[in-house]
Amino acid sequence: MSSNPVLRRLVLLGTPSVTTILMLLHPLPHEDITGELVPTASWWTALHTIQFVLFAIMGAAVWLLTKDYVALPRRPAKWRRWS
Amino acid sequence: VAAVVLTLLYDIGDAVAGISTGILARSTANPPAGEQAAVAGAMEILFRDPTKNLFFSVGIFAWIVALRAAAVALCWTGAPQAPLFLLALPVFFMSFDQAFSFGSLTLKSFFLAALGLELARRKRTPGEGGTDPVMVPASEGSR
Repeated sequence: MSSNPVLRRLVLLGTPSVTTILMLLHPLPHEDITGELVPTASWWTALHTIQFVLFAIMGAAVWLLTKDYVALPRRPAKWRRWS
Repeated sequence: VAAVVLTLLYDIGDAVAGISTGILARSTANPPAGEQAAVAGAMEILFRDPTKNLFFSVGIFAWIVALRAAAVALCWTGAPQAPLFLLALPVFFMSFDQAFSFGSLTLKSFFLAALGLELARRKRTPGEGGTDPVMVPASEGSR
């Protein structure tokens, strides 16, 4: 995945962008859960079904942040001693 | 590991809280009063269920661990400091709530940090701009 820069950027930047927009439309049932959920039940279900996939891809995005890099060169000397 | 834990447990918590309560809420459209009350009670139970909340909490903790570990690893590679400081924001916002506005702030700040790191990577990765002796892709470093 990380060898393809387009796919990498799609996962790393596209996923949080799409999820951010969806989160803005996330209903907030706090006090009267039933009363607030029933009118938006279809959207609520659809949103969480989409989020189910997007959160999984967010996990991949976090992994992609560091996947391509070796970490050792700039570690402080006191940490380098332990490896 | 933390990214996998985040993916599995946060997804489970969100699916239980979101999809199952949504299905129940849709079923309360036109049922008899007694059945409606029972479904409403079931939704309340699902929302307040400690097991579901535990999945959420472990998922959020995994998010914190994953981003902190990523920030430390990227710091060691000599990644630019500004996006690494930005990585603290999604950790901070995630501790509040998933829904508006903290959920969107969490992901927006993650996006900005990732964008900063991607731009720096593009400049520093050989073949995509200049070169940097410190921030080296793993495939290059292992040669």
